[in-house]
Amino acid sequence: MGTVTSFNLDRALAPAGAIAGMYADLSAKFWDQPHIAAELIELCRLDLAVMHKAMAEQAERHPAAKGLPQAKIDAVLNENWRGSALLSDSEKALLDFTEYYFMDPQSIPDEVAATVVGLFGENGLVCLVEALGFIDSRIRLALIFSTLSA
Amino acid sequence: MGLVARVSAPKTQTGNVIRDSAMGLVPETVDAFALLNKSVWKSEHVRPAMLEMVRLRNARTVNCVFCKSVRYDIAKADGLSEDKVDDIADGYEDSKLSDMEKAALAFTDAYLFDPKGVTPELKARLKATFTEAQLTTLAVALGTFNASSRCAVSLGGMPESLPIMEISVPQ
Repeated sequence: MGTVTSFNLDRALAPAGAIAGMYADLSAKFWDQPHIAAELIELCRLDLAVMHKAMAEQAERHPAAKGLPQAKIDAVLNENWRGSALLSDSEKALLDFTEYYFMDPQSIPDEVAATVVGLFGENGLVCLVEALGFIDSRIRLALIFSTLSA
Repeated sequence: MGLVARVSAPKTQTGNVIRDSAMGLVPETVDAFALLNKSVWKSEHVRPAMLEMVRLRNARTVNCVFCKSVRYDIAKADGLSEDKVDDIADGYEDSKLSDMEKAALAFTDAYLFDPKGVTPELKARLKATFTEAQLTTLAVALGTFNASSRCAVSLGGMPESLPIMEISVPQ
Protein backbone atom coordinates (compact mmCIF):
# COMPACT_ATOMS: atom_id res chain seq x y z
CA MET A 1 0.00 0.00 0.00
CA GLY A 2 3.03 2.29 -0.26
CA THR A 3 3.82 4.94 2.30
CA VAL A 4 1.90 4.53 5.52
CA THR A 5 1.20 7.43 7.89
CA SER A 6 -0.97 7.71 10.96
CA PHE A 7 -3.72 8.82 8.55
CA ASN A 8 -3.96 5.57 6.56
CA LEU A 9 -2.51 3.19 9.16
CA ASP A 10 -5.86 1.65 9.97
CA ARG A 11 -6.05 0.09 6.52
CA ALA A 12 -2.70 -1.59 7.11
CA LEU A 13 -3.82 -2.88 10.51
CA ALA A 14 -7.21 -4.17 9.30
CA PRO A 15 -6.14 -7.86 9.18
CA ALA A 16 -6.06 -7.78 12.99
CA GLY A 17 -9.85 -7.68 12.95
CA ALA A 18 -12.04 -5.99 15.55
CA ILE A 19 -9.18 -4.66 17.69
CA ALA A 20 -7.88 -2.65 14.73
CA GLY A 21 -11.22 -0.83 14.64
CA MET A 22 -11.12 -0.26 18.39
CA TYR A 23 -7.60 1.17 18.10
CA ALA A 24 -8.80 3.49 15.33
CA ASP A 25 -11.88 4.54 17.31
CA LEU A 26 -9.86 5.41 20.40
CA SER A 27 -7.24 7.29 18.37
CA ALA A 28 -9.97 9.40 16.76
CA LYS A 29 -11.38 10.49 20.11
CA PHE A 30 -8.34 12.63 20.95
CA TRP A 31 -9.30 14.96 18.12
CA ASP A 32 -12.73 15.64 19.58
CA GLN A 33 -12.59 16.13 23.33
CA PRO A 34 -13.05 19.22 25.52
CA HIS A 35 -9.68 19.29 27.29
CA ILE A 36 -7.15 20.24 24.61
CA ALA A 37 -8.14 21.81 21.29
CA ALA A 38 -7.54 19.81 18.14
CA GLU A 39 -5.25 22.55 16.82
CA LEU A 40 -2.97 22.02 19.81
CA ILE A 41 -3.05 18.25 19.43
CA GLU A 42 -2.07 18.80 15.80
CA LEU A 43 0.97 20.85 16.80
CA CYS A 44 2.01 18.00 19.10
CA ARG A 45 1.48 15.43 16.31
CA LEU A 46 3.64 17.46 13.95
CA ASP A 47 6.31 17.80 16.64
CA LEU A 48 6.35 14.02 17.14
CA ALA A 49 6.59 13.58 13.37
CA VAL A 50 9.59 15.91 13.29
CA MET A 51 11.33 14.04 16.08
CA HIS A 52 10.66 10.72 14.35
CA LYS A 53 11.98 12.26 11.10
CA ALA A 54 8.76 10.94 9.56
CA MET A 55 8.57 13.05 6.39
CA ALA A 56 5.27 11.71 5.04
CA GLU A 57 3.69 12.23 8.45
CA GLN A 58 4.92 15.83 8.50
CA ALA A 59 3.20 16.46 5.17
CA GLU A 60 -0.22 15.42 6.51
CA ARG A 61 -2.72 17.86 8.06
CA HIS A 62 -5.46 16.65 10.37
CA PRO A 63 -8.91 17.82 9.21
CA ALA A 64 -9.98 18.54 12.79
CA ALA A 65 -7.31 21.26 12.99
CA LYS A 66 -8.16 23.23 9.86
CA GLY A 67 -7.91 26.52 11.71
CA LEU A 68 -4.26 26.10 12.58
CA PRO A 69 -2.23 28.90 10.94
CA GLN A 70 0.47 27.76 8.52
CA ALA A 71 3.03 29.96 10.30
CA LYS A 72 2.60 27.93 13.49
CA ILE A 73 2.90 24.69 11.56
CA ASP A 74 6.09 25.99 9.95
CA ALA A 75 7.55 26.95 13.33
CA VAL A 76 7.12 23.36 14.51
CA LEU A 77 8.30 21.76 11.28
CA ASN A 78 11.32 24.06 11.17
CA GLU A 79 12.08 23.33 14.83
CA ASN A 80 12.17 27.00 15.82
CA TRP A 81 8.95 27.13 17.83
CA ARG A 82 10.74 27.88 21.11
CA GLY A 83 11.89 31.28 19.93
CA SER A 84 8.80 32.05 17.90
CA ALA A 85 6.52 34.89 18.98
CA LEU A 86 3.73 33.28 16.97
CA LEU A 87 3.13 30.52 19.47
CA SER A 88 1.34 31.13 22.75
CA ASP A 89 2.65 30.09 26.15
CA SER A 90 0.05 27.29 26.16
CA GLU A 91 1.23 25.97 22.83
CA LYS A 92 4.86 26.12 23.93
CA ALA A 93 4.04 24.33 27.19
CA LEU A 94 2.46 21.44 25.28
CA LEU A 95 5.33 21.23 22.80
CA ASP A 96 7.89 21.33 25.61
CA PHE A 97 6.08 18.44 27.32
CA THR A 98 5.84 16.57 24.02
CA GLU A 99 9.57 16.71 23.43
CA TYR A 100 10.40 15.35 26.88
CA TYR A 101 7.72 12.69 26.36
CA PHE A 102 9.28 11.66 23.07
CA MET A 103 12.79 11.38 24.48
CA ASP A 104 11.75 9.47 27.59
CA PRO A 105 8.65 9.92 29.77
CA GLN A 106 10.86 9.42 32.82
CA SER A 107 12.71 12.63 31.89
CA ILE A 108 9.65 14.91 32.12
CA PRO A 109 10.48 17.49 34.78
CA ASP A 110 7.88 18.11 37.47
CA GLU A 111 7.72 21.80 36.57
CA VAL A 112 6.99 21.02 32.91
CA ALA A 113 4.11 18.74 33.92
CA ALA A 114 2.93 21.29 36.49
CA THR A 115 2.81 23.98 33.82
CA VAL A 116 0.51 21.80 31.71
CA VAL A 117 -1.70 21.12 34.73
CA GLY A 118 -1.79 24.86 35.51
CA LEU A 119 -2.95 25.66 31.98
CA PHE A 120 -5.17 22.68 31.14
CA GLY A 121 -6.00 21.06 34.48
CA GLU A 122 -5.35 17.50 35.63
CA ASN A 123 -7.81 16.23 33.04
CA GLY A 124 -5.85 18.07 30.39
CA LEU A 125 -2.56 16.47 31.40
CA VAL A 126 -4.08 12.98 31.33
CA CYS A 127 -5.70 13.70 27.97
CA LEU A 128 -2.37 14.97 26.65
CA VAL A 129 -0.36 11.92 27.68
CA GLU A 130 -3.02 9.59 26.30
CA ALA A 131 -3.12 11.50 23.01
CA LEU A 132 0.67 11.56 22.75
CA GLY A 133 0.75 7.85 23.49
CA PHE A 134 -1.63 6.89 20.73
CA ILE A 135 -0.35 9.41 18.18
CA ASP A 136 3.22 8.31 18.85
CA SER A 137 2.22 4.66 18.58
CA ARG A 138 0.51 5.33 15.25
CA ILE A 139 3.56 7.11 13.85
CA ARG A 140 5.85 4.27 14.98
CA LEU A 141 3.59 1.61 13.47
CA ALA A 142 3.17 3.65 10.28
CA LEU A 143 6.94 3.82 9.85
CA ILE A 144 7.26 0.07 10.36
CA PHE A 145 4.39 -0.82 8.02
CA SER A 146 5.72 1.55 5.36
CA THR A 147 8.76 -0.70 5.18
CA LEU A 148 6.84 -3.94 5.54
CA SER A 149 4.39 -3.06 2.79
CA ALA A 150 7.01 -1.69 0.36
CA MET B 1 11.28 10.27 37.08
CA GLY B 2 8.40 12.13 38.76
CA LEU B 3 8.20 10.53 42.20
CA VAL B 4 5.01 12.32 43.16
CA ALA B 5 1.77 11.66 41.30
CA ARG B 6 0.98 14.61 39.04
CA VAL B 7 -2.77 14.06 39.04
CA SER B 8 -5.37 12.63 41.41
CA ALA B 9 -7.42 9.51 40.86
CA PRO B 10 -11.13 10.01 40.13
CA LYS B 11 -13.22 10.48 43.27
CA THR B 12 -15.71 7.80 42.24
CA GLN B 13 -14.33 4.26 42.32
CA THR B 14 -15.89 1.60 40.10
CA GLY B 15 -13.75 -1.46 40.85
CA ASN B 16 -12.20 -1.35 37.35
CA VAL B 17 -8.50 -0.48 37.65
CA ILE B 18 -8.50 1.48 34.40
CA ARG B 19 -11.58 3.57 35.14
CA ASP B 20 -10.38 4.10 38.73
CA SER B 21 -6.94 5.27 37.60
CA ALA B 22 -6.09 8.74 36.37
CA MET B 23 -7.40 7.68 32.97
CA GLY B 24 -10.85 7.98 34.48
CA LEU B 25 -10.30 11.74 34.47
CA VAL B 26 -10.93 11.70 30.72
CA PRO B 27 -14.40 10.18 30.40
CA GLU B 28 -14.43 10.86 26.67
CA THR B 29 -11.77 8.18 26.09
CA VAL B 30 -11.76 5.83 29.07
CA ASP B 31 -14.46 3.47 27.81
CA ALA B 32 -12.78 3.08 24.43
CA PHE B 33 -9.45 2.51 26.13
CA ALA B 34 -10.86 -0.11 28.51
CA LEU B 35 -12.54 -1.90 25.59
CA LEU B 36 -9.36 -1.97 23.52
CA ASN B 37 -7.22 -3.02 26.47
CA LYS B 38 -9.34 -6.05 27.28
CA SER B 39 -9.99 -6.97 23.65
CA VAL B 40 -6.36 -7.34 22.62
CA TRP B 41 -6.12 -10.28 25.02
CA LYS B 42 -9.01 -12.07 23.33
CA SER B 43 -7.29 -12.26 19.96
CA GLU B 44 -7.79 -15.41 17.94
CA HIS B 45 -4.49 -14.72 16.16
CA VAL B 46 -1.88 -14.43 18.93
CA ARG B 47 -1.73 -16.43 22.14
CA PRO B 48 -1.80 -14.59 25.49
CA ALA B 49 1.64 -15.84 26.53
CA MET B 50 3.22 -14.23 23.48
CA LEU B 51 1.31 -10.99 23.98
CA GLU B 52 2.52 -10.94 27.58
CA MET B 53 6.13 -11.34 26.44
CA VAL B 54 5.70 -8.36 24.11
CA ARG B 55 4.02 -6.37 26.88
CA LEU B 56 6.82 -7.13 29.34
CA ARG B 57 9.56 -6.32 26.82
CA ASN B 58 7.87 -2.94 26.34
CA ALA B 59 7.42 -2.44 30.09
CA ARG B 60 11.08 -3.21 30.68
CA THR B 61 12.20 -0.69 28.05
CA VAL B 62 9.85 2.09 29.11
CA ASN B 63 10.66 1.25 32.75
CA CYS B 64 7.05 1.26 33.85
CA VAL B 65 7.34 -0.29 37.30
CA PHE B 66 3.63 -1.04 37.52
CA CYS B 67 3.63 -2.73 34.13
CA LYS B 68 6.76 -4.74 34.92
CA SER B 69 5.28 -6.09 38.13
CA VAL B 70 2.06 -7.38 36.56
CA ARG B 71 1.57 -10.88 35.23
CA TYR B 72 -1.78 -11.51 33.56
CA ASP B 73 -3.32 -14.74 34.71
CA ILE B 74 -4.40 -15.73 31.20
CA ALA B 75 -0.77 -15.56 30.07
CA LYS B 76 0.36 -17.70 32.99
CA ALA B 77 -2.40 -20.18 32.20
CA ASP B 78 -1.16 -20.17 28.60
CA GLY B 79 2.30 -21.26 29.72
CA LEU B 80 4.20 -18.08 30.52
CA SER B 81 6.75 -18.96 33.21
CA GLU B 82 9.15 -16.70 35.10
CA ASP B 83 11.99 -18.50 33.29
CA LYS B 84 10.53 -17.25 30.04
CA VAL B 85 10.13 -13.77 31.48
CA ASP B 86 13.84 -13.85 32.39
CA ASP B 87 14.62 -14.66 28.76
CA ILE B 88 12.91 -11.44 27.62
CA ALA B 89 15.97 -9.50 28.76
CA ASP B 90 18.59 -8.21 26.32
CA GLY B 91 20.26 -11.21 24.73
CA TYR B 92 16.93 -12.96 24.06
CA GLU B 93 18.16 -13.91 20.57
CA ASP B 94 20.57 -16.35 22.25
CA SER B 95 17.98 -17.68 24.69
CA LYS B 96 15.93 -20.86 24.49
CA LEU B 97 12.84 -18.97 23.39
CA SER B 98 11.18 -20.25 20.21
CA ASP B 99 11.86 -18.65 16.82
CA MET B 100 8.37 -17.14 16.85
CA GLU B 101 8.86 -15.66 20.32
CA LYS B 102 12.21 -14.18 19.30
CA ALA B 103 10.67 -12.70 16.16
CA ALA B 104 7.90 -11.10 18.23
CA LEU B 105 10.51 -9.52 20.49
CA ALA B 106 12.52 -8.33 17.50
CA PHE B 107 9.36 -6.66 16.16
CA THR B 108 8.87 -5.07 19.58
CA ASP B 109 12.42 -3.74 19.59
CA ALA B 110 12.01 -2.29 16.10
CA TYR B 111 8.94 -0.41 17.32
CA LEU B 112 10.64 0.77 20.51
CA PHE B 113 14.09 1.68 19.26
CA ASP B 114 14.09 2.30 15.51
CA PRO B 115 10.74 2.10 13.71
CA LYS B 116 12.30 3.64 10.58
CA GLY B 117 15.09 1.12 10.56
CA VAL B 118 13.38 -2.17 9.73
CA THR B 119 16.05 -4.05 7.81
CA PRO B 120 15.36 -6.31 4.83
CA GLU B 121 16.43 -9.20 7.05
CA LEU B 122 13.90 -8.32 9.75
CA LYS B 123 11.18 -7.75 7.15
CA ALA B 124 11.84 -11.19 5.66
CA ARG B 125 11.92 -12.76 9.11
CA LEU B 126 8.60 -11.21 10.15
CA LYS B 127 6.90 -12.19 6.91
CA ALA B 128 8.23 -15.73 7.16
CA THR B 129 7.16 -16.10 10.79
CA PHE B 130 3.79 -14.40 11.07
CA THR B 131 0.61 -14.21 9.07
CA GLU B 132 -0.72 -10.74 8.33
CA ALA B 133 -3.36 -11.22 11.01
CA GLN B 134 -0.75 -12.21 13.59
CA LEU B 135 1.60 -9.35 12.79
CA THR B 136 -1.10 -6.70 12.81
CA THR B 137 -2.48 -8.10 16.05
CA LEU B 138 0.96 -7.81 17.60
CA ALA B 139 1.14 -4.26 16.24
CA VAL B 140 -2.17 -3.12 17.75
CA ALA B 141 -1.36 -4.81 21.06
CA LEU B 142 2.12 -3.30 21.22
CA GLY B 143 0.83 0.17 20.34
CA THR B 144 -1.71 -0.15 23.14
CA PHE B 145 0.80 -1.47 25.68
CA ASN B 146 3.33 1.21 24.81
CA ALA B 147 0.84 4.08 25.00
CA SER B 148 -0.43 2.80 28.37
CA SER B 149 2.98 2.37 29.92
CA ARG B 150 4.23 5.74 28.73
CA CYS B 151 1.04 7.29 30.08
CA ALA B 152 1.65 5.71 33.50
CA VAL B 153 5.26 6.91 33.64
CA SER B 154 4.36 10.41 32.44
CA LEU B 155 1.82 10.89 35.20
CA GLY B 156 4.43 10.32 37.92
CA GLY B 157 4.06 8.63 41.26
CA MET B 158 5.82 5.48 40.12
CA PRO B 159 7.40 3.49 42.97
CA GLU B 160 11.00 2.33 42.57
CA SER B 161 9.96 -1.31 42.63
CA LEU B 162 6.98 -3.56 43.21
CA PRO B 163 6.62 -7.30 43.79
CA ILE B 164 5.26 -9.46 40.99
CA MET B 165 1.44 -9.38 41.01
CA GLU B 166 -0.73 -11.87 39.15
CA ILE B 167 -3.97 -10.23 38.10
CA SER B 168 -6.78 -10.66 35.61
CA VAL B 169 -7.19 -8.41 32.60
CA PRO B 170 -9.56 -5.60 33.67
CA GLN B 171 -13.03 -6.22 32.24
